[in-house]
Order: sequence, then C-alpha cells, then structure tokens
Amino acid sequence: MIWLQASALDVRVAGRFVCQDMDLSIESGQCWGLLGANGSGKTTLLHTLAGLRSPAAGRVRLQGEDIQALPRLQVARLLGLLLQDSSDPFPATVLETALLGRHPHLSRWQSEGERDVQIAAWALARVGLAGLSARVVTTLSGGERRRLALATVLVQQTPLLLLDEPTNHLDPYHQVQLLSLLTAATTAPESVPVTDPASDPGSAAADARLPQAIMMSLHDINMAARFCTHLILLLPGGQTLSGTCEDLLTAEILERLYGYPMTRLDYDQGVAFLPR
Amino acid sequence: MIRVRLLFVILLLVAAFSLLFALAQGSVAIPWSELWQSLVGARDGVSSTIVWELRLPRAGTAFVVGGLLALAGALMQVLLRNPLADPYVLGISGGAAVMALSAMVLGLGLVWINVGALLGALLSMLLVFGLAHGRGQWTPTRLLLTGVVVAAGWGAIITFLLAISPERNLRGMLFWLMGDLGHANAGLGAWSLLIAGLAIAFSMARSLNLLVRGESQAAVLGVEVGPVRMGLYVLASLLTATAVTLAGSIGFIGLIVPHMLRLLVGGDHRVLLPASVLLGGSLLVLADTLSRSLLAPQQLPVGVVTALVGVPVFLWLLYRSAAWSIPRGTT
Repeated sequence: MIWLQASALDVRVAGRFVCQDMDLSIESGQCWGLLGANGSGKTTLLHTLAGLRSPAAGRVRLQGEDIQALPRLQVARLLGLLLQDSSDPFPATVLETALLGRHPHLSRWQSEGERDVQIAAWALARVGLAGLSARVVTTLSGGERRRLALATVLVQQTPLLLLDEPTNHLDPYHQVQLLSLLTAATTAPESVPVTDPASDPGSAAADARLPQAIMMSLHDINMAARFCTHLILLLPGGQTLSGTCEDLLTAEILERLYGYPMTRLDYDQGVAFLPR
Repeated sequence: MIRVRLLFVILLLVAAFSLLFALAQGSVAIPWSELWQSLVGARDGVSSTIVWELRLPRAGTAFVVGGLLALAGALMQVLLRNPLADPYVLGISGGAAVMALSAMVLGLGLVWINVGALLGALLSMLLVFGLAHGRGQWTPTRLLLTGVVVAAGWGAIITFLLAISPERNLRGMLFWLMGDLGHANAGLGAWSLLIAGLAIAFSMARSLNLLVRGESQAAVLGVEVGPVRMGLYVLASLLTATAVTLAGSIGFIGLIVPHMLRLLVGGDHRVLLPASVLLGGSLLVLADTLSRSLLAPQQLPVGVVTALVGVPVFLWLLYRSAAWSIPRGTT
C-alpha cells in the first residue's frame, strides 16, 4: 500500500531550496529516516508532507488524493505528525492530553468513550507513562513530555506517521525502547523489541495498532541505521538523496551531508559512524 | 465525571442563591418570608412591585451580561493562546466607549448611546481584524498586538472626550466607563445570543482544546484552523459587543471566571464554557447586588465592585499557582 506520494516536489523556505524536483513514495512496511544538517529544512519538509504548508511546486498525495484539497479531519485519520516541540499554555492532565489524539475519530457532539480511554491507556503504557495519567502535564520532565507527545500521536491510530526528531529529550534506554515500539510494524531488519507486546499491561485495547509506515527526522545516524529501512538526505543546496540504508550510509556521503569528516567504525555487532 | 457533575450542581446552587440574594437585598431589604410571598403569591404590594419590576429584571440583566463576558473571555483566551486575555484586550470595549461617550457629549438619548456602543464595538472588531489580517499571517501575537494598540488609541479618544465634555455629563460618562447596570435591560435578544453563543462554542469545544496547543498541533489532529479561529473571533467579539452595549465595560468577570475554573476543573472546554457562563452570571449578580446595597441608597458602578474583588482574587490565584507561567512563543 502506497500511503504518501510526493511528485516533482519543490519546497522552499526563506528563499532557499529544501528540496527540488523530489519524488518520494512511502509504503507499508517502510521506515524512512530523514537526515540533514541544522537548518536544512527537515521540519519544513515534514510539514509539507503532512499538508500543513503548500509546496512551491509539485504535489503531495495521500492515498492518491491531493493532500491540500483534503479536509484536515480526513487527513488526520490517515496521517499523524509528531511536532518537534509541544507547548501547553494551559494546564491539562496526562490522560486528557493523550485523549486529544482521538479527536479525528469522534463526531462533533461525541465525547470520548470507554474504547477511546482504553486506547489512550494502551499508548500511555507503551511509552511508560501508565502510572502518571492523573498528573498535570506542566509537572512532567522534558523526556516525559516527549513520551506523552508520542503517546498522543499513537492514540491517533494512523497508518502513516511522520515524526519530527522523536528522540529529543529522551535517554538512551527510552530512545531504543520507543523507536523499537514505533517501528515494530515496519520491517526494520535489526530492530529488537524491548517490550513484549503480549505481556503489555495496556493490551486491553486489543485492536490498537502501530503505524504501518513511518518517516522520521533524526540527528543520530546510528539510530537511523538501526531502525530505518530507507533514508532521505537533505544535502546543502537543495539536492536530495534517497534510497536504502545500505546504499546511503557511507562515510563519504555523510561527510557531504554534514560538511564534517565522519569515521566508520566496524565492530562485532555492526557498523557505527562517528564525527571525527 | 463525578467531579464535573458536582461542579455543575454547585454552580447551579450558587446561581440560585445569587438570584435570591439579589431579590432580597437593596435599599429596601425584603425579608425571606416576604420575598417568598411576593414570588409565589399574589402580585400586589410594594415588595412584590420591587421584586418583579425592579430587582428581577436587573438581576436577569446582570446574569446575562456576566455570562456573556465570561464566555467571551474564555474564547478570547483560546484565540490568543494566553490565559491572561480578557474580552476587552482587543479594543472592543474601547470602540464601544468612544461611540457611547460621543453620543453622551452630543446629548443624545439612551437609545442612541446603546446604538453607538454597538456600532463602536463592531467597528473596532472590523478594524482590528482588518489590520491584523493585513498582508501575511494571522497569528495570535499579531492579533494581540494590533488589538492592544487599537485599544490604546481608543483610550486616547476617551480621555479627549472626557476632557472636552461639560461637567454635568462627566458622572454619567464615568459610570458608563466603569460599567453600570442601572439603565440596562436585557431583553430576549441578549438571552438568545448568550444561549446560541454557548451552543456554538460548545460544538467547537474539542477543537478549542486542540487550538490552545498551537496551530500546527490542531491542524495535524484535524482542525480547520483558519475557519475555527475566524469563528472564534467573530463569536467572542459579538458576545463582548452585546455585553458592553448593555452595561458598559465591566472589568474582571471575563478574565477571572475562566481562569478560576481552569484551576478548579482543568482545561476541557466542554466543561469550562458552560461553567463559565453559570459562574460569570452568578458573580455579576452578586457584585451588582453589593453595588446597590453597600452604600444604599447611593449606587456604585458595578465595575468598581468587580475590580475591587477581582484584583486581589486574581493576584492571589497567580501567586498561588506555581504551574502558571506566561506561555512561551504564542505562535
């Protein structure tokens, strides 16, 4: 199943090209990593793919339909986007925040039912916030808030998920745990699930699903290598490279990408790239 | 859920109590037994006339105005993504005041003062909207800044009008500016606007819960941000315009009530909006009763009472809640 398709896409921000004439399609089972230097336009590209801003040229199609022409509610049932930052000017509890993800599935006058609460509880348990559902969000730590934002986007139950630096503020354990969880339904070859779904305390919502296709921007090349099937690289000057991890993860390409020398390190469990 | 039900039971009791208090208190105190008699019994006698023809319409008006202001305040806080916004922050009351005071300077009657206030409020609403829209993005920050500057402009004109008007007009003008329910009479129109406004706002309540978390977050979860924000602006402005036309610019109800309720029951607008109407209405009825009876037979502008009570309450709330910081970037 092809979920998202970009054709001849030009994206510009502040008069500079993020990408030019880019073609891309995101299919079931794929997990795309989006890499690029600071300011290369990763967020802008993700927002364009999510239909939040219109491209300078070209088209983004969600299940074959122009995303700019679709009602937002319909988009929100198919595509979730984890924003880079979340802000909460007004206090709300953790459960209330997670339940926001149910919005696209409820009609105007409907309020959340038992099933919605089950899905929220499932997602909170998956990100390790099960015990905190009554807490006020402003009292959480940065990492806990990040996990709450991830839970909210999981509660949305979309087959396609775009994630803007999902591992921000997370410690190494939670980075690995959450990326394993998110990519469990995509065919990441080396991903090792840390939580066993069967023994999960939140599995009351048996029909809750994980995303079938993912694109995420990351700064950690090694996490990208570990969890992604495909990569898209935003090189300086608006050029993009896309392909499988094997093809793109070389010290040379990464040096072009970041404008900084990189070293490839071979060790018994695989390879790693480090800045020199 | 139980907490929400309890809240509404308490709010309804508070509303009932405030209305009874308003009927019993004033320059002539009416004992409870006599009040009961005049409410259910035959409609003759002085007490009955006072209750039915003076106090009940005035209490009703106070309730409507309070409800309109609290609802408008709650909506304005979402629109501007700022828990410290109030219905007047975008200059609507200023525009209304300029036109109403102009009518007073010209010596026109009460009807023209009201028409002027309504026209001024609508003019200000269009002016701020047009200027904030301008070219480019319509962000909460831009809207807020435009509104604040326009409000400052109205403030200057108000001072000018006060400076040039003859002494005998000044008292009336000051009463109008402080907010006064003495001449107000809310008819069916104001009640229907309050109820329709609450119904419309309630139908958007879940979208509002998302909108306070930012434009992108709301759009990603399926909210059509542009139309919702536009609807919010028009609705909040109309509610404010109605309240200001009825009773002048009564301060603090629109700021304090949604704020207090957010602290008590959290930020779900499905609870917050109806609760704001009930609490705002009740508080203004109480404040108006105090303004009539504290220095009776002299009447104070009700705005003095709401401000005298509102300022310490607001400062206390702010001081007490550590979790309540000014929000980061409001775009």
